[in-house]
Amino acid sequence: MSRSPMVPNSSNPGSLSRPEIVSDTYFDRVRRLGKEIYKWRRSYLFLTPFLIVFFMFVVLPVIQSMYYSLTYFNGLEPPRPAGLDNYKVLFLYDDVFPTAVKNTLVFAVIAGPGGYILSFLLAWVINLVRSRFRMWFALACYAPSIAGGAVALIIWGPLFSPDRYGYLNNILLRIGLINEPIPWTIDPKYVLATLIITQLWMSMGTGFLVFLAGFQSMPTEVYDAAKVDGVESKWQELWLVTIPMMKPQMLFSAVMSVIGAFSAVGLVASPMYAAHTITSHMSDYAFVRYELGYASAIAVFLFVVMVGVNRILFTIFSTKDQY
Amino acid sequence: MDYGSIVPSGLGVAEQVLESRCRGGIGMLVHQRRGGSCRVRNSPQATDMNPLRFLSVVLALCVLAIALSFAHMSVAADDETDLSTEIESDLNRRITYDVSVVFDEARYADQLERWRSEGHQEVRGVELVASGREALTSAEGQFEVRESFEGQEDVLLWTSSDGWAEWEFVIPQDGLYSLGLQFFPLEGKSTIGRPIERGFMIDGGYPFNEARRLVLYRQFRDIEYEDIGESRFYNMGDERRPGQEEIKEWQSVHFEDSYAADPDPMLVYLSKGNHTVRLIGGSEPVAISKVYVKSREDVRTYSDVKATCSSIPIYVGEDIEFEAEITSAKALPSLRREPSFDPEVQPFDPDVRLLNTFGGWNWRWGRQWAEWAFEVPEDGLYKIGIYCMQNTGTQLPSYRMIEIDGRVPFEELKRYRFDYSRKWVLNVLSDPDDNPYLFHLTKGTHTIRLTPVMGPLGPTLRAINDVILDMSDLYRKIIMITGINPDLNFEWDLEDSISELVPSLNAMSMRLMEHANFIEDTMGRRGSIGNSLAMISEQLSSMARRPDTIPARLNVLLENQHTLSQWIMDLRVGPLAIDRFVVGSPEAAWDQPRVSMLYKLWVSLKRFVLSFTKDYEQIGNVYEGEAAERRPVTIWVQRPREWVEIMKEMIDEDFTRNTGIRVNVNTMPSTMDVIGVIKLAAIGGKAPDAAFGIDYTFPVEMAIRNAAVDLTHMPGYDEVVQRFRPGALIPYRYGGGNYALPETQDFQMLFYRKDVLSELGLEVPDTWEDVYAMIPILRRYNMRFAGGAGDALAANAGGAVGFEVFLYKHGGTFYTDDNMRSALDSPEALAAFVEWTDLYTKYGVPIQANFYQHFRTGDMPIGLGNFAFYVTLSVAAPELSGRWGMAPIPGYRQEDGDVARWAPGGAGTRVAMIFNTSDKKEEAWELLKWWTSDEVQERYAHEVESNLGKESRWNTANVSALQTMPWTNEELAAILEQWRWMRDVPVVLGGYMTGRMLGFAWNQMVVQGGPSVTDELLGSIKRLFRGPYEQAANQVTNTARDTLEYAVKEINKELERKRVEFGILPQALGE
Repeated sequence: MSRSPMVPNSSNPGSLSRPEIVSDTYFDRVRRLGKEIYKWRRSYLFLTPFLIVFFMFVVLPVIQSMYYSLTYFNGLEPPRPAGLDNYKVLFLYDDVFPTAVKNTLVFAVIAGPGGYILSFLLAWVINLVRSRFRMWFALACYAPSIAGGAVALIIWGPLFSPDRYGYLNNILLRIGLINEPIPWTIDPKYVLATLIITQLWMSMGTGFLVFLAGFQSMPTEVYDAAKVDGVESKWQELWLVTIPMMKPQMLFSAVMSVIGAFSAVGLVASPMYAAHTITSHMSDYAFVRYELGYASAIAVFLFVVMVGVNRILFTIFSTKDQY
Repeated sequence: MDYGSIVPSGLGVAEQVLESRCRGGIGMLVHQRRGGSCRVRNSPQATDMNPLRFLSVVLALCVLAIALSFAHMSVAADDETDLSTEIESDLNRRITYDVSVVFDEARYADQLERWRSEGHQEVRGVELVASGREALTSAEGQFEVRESFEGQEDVLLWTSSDGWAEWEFVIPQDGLYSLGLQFFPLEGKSTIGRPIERGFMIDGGYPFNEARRLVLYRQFRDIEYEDIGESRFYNMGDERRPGQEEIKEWQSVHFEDSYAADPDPMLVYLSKGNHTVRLIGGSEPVAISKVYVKSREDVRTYSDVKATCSSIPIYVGEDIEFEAEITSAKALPSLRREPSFDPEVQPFDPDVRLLNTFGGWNWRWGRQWAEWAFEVPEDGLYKIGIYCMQNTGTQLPSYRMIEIDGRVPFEELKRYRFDYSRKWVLNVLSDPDDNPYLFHLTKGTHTIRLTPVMGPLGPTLRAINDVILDMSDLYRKIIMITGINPDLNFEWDLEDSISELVPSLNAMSMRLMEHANFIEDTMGRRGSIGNSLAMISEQLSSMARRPDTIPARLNVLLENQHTLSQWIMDLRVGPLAIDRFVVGSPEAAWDQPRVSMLYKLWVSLKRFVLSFTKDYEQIGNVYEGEAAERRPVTIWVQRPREWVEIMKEMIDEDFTRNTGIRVNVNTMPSTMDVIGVIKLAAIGGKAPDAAFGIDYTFPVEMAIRNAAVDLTHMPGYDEVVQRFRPGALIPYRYGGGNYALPETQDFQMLFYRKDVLSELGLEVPDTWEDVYAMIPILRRYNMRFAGGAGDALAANAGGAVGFEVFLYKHGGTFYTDDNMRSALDSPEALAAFVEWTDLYTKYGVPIQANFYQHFRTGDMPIGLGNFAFYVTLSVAAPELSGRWGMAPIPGYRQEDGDVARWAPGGAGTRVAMIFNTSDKKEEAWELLKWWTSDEVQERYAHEVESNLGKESRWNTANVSALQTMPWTNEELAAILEQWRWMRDVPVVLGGYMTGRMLGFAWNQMVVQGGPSVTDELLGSIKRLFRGPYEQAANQVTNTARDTLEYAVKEINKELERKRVEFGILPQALGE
């Protein structure tokens, strides 16, 4: 209770230099906090709309699902308390859950950084394009993430179609690499890989835009200065100037792409659970079995994992040592 | 070889005897005059049936009859014995699913050309009349001759839809004659005003293909609400659609082709002497007073007509305007008032939905005329303008035949053109140089009738059709040699093996180019269709020049087929929307409809704002703010809005009016998570009383959670369920209760290409053994059997489609009798599993393939498909019409000789149920009863199909309503036979695991044994290092038994888990 998490100290210009804390009685500290709050009361007023919305749509659902995770809840009847049973079953008895975790990790390790690097490179390349066309390239790269899953299915369906008429199979057959069409979406050996490729294509979302904005907001003087200092190629420019300057954007993108990768919706009941991610496990229980309590427990697990991963990312990309 | 299924109706045996004896005669057509006892058959294969085999069939039938009554099916769970009860049907024609082809018949246009080229002329001034009394009629069908009927004498009443009636004429001279008749529509079984259909034969044979279908439209008019003292508007301001009433009067019609490819009546060549004209039963009863054989009437050209009118004064005075939505008569109830939200239209109100135009997309098929009445104040010459729009479909013009007072005034109006436009235009009837036509109208009331006819591109349509068929023939011949994916490094030398390859390509190319030019000549420019034809023509001729490139360009052939058939669909239809007519002085200056941009903007803005306040999910009359006892029944329907609108209209006009129970109807998007939505609604106290159009697994899920009403104890439940197949009700049963009624019923059928099978000399398989015998032959020609059934993804989705068929075949069941455990550990299930997976591993049925595409191209000429497949095929593949058939799925021969074809319905089934939270259960049940009744289902099916097109066919679950839908007799017989064997999979707690695990097991057996990329890439190298033992070991680990046992273990685990969850077994969680 030492300081309210809601006091946005760092974002408040007036509070950058806080006075040294000398007194240590508990009562003093509380009083000082009260004073401090009263002093900044107008700021709270401006914060309120955001806080209300944030609380209603982010904090409340998380709390709610934490509550449900401790109950038995089938969606129709009122939830019954169940203690830690859901977690017990999840970690000790559920055979499919380890598969889901494994798949999610594979997914996150490949699609997360993969999508991250891809969107960085694409943003960089597009930034080099003349500004008149840049917008169109940007749109082309951003479109997939707007389009969403249904469109992905339409676009990638024919490509990975398991018969001879699927584009990929057809090309491979034509080149002569294979003799029989490969059932990409049916054979457990390939389902996850297929899904990851699709996800990479779709992950060109917010991260990509942030990168692009970052590139464009880069002050040209820095590049001029770098040239004077002896930077010769675009690669050097990228490595020595751009990347160090873009740490905030890189952090944001990293967080987005990891969240994207972890929460990637696999396939519910994919062949042999080959593309069964934690999210699909969750929707399997929530919408097929209507065990919402158990699904909430999975969600909470996913939440905890993601918070943990984000902590790690913050340490990697932290901006402390900059400027 | 009568491999067709003989529907064994108890009464039918005696008839069978007679029928079969007659077959021994001359084959094709055995007919007898009145009092005879024999039926018309056209089964050439039946002729060689030997007496011994015949006797055995009769014996088998008797055995079957006994067997059925003793119910000895061992596969039965509790009450399965009555699952295959007979379906009562009017269809007393037996169908053999033969591949004999009827599509080689000449088309009218070709036949007429042939007659003309033989020097036959149209006769002049001949009119022969025969009265209804003179008819000679068949034995079956009901006929009656009346002295006088509805004001006509000597009338033949044909009160059934089958049989035939024949008239004899003495033709005075050789020549081309037109035919006609005078008819009176009789009340049919159909409550929805289906047109009367007949076919006609000349001297015992169809003169051309179009003679098979002669459509006699009934006449209808709107019942204005003002006339019956009701409000024209719903209480939310939207306009109601008027009811329909049939106009019963005598009509004289010519025999015309039903597509209206030619606006004129059809001509038939008759030589001097005696000839018979026979009408063949089709649908609906009719009374006939006269039949004509006469010369065709002449229609003069405009310049001739104009010359005779020179003395008539020009009308000067006020314009006469009349709204097109108010018709005086029309051919079908489905041609109706439509709403338009364009401000150009009159009347217009941005706030509510007014039915302010007529026609549109509904009004696109040939011959479906509509008529308007108007009055002119004095004699004189008038011009006529039509405010209309043709903005649907491709940018082709639409054509109408225009009649004033029942006659086409002059030649130019036989096929009058309405150009494509994106907005409402005023089309003043005028000659190509924009000089308005003048019409002589006398003082008083006149009628104007517009009949959709096909444009002048009829010949092109036929040419395209021919080319598509030739193309697919050629394609098939090529792939028989090269396979679907030819090795391009091989020199195929196709022109050596297919001698007609190059000539045929050249012929197709020439024909298309000819028509590209023809289009340019008739339409003034090539347009997109002409360019498309020219391009395809170019591609074909380049193939002809370089036949060695064909294997690499097989896809081009397929794509071209697709493009061309798209054009067929576009050319056949001619939609047109009309806002109003204007009749006035030739000197008047009329403006195009114009509305200022500002007003338009304001209207769209207003509608945008309205969209926030108006509840578009509520439809029709909305009842609000009533006391609890008067609260209306609220239902949620999970269907597209257009469907729900029609349903609500019917509820308002029929159900509410007759029972006084008022109903609020809301739509529910199809992607919605139903249980979640209903849960939320229940918490908010807004749960509906009943839900319609929901997934068939849902009611039991609700019942388990104590949220569904058990319909068993509702009054009249026992009668209501008679409407459905007993086997179709299995999924709604849980713990002794019945929790839903099916609305639609999906089903699986065997689809086959008649032309391909007959070319290969194959027959339609009746049993799986036939299928297994057929597959090697197909494979020899690089063709495959489509198992559609084994689609792994579909299987995973929960139904395990395909496996049921084999499970039932071997006598297995999915669950133990108490639905507590999986019964898939039985030896029967193992045998079924092996047979199922063998289909893919041994018989090479493709794991997954787009059956529709391959069916069209013909390389999968036979396979299993469901109702949706039927719809797709009949809507989107016009070039195949008449070339494919539908038969019941293969089965197995039982000891009694009958072929059992047990199969589940399928995932397309949608149901209706009542919720436990409702306080209007009785009322909701009344609604359910009304909704599933025969008449309502028939009417709804018709309304939906005629408004939204054939692609929206309503596959009703009601057995007798199903029979009133426009199936062909062959299709209906096949469906009814398959419905005899309807047996759905029970929905049990945790049952989704069965489908999933079966999918996994299938995957393990079929897919995992398949190739992998690394195997393929490094195959030969790896094989060097892998001994035979390793290969064998690889197989052993995947035995069917192990796989299935694992699946059963997992299924049972889930079933038990779920049972524990709901406390069905008192056991601790998870231990």
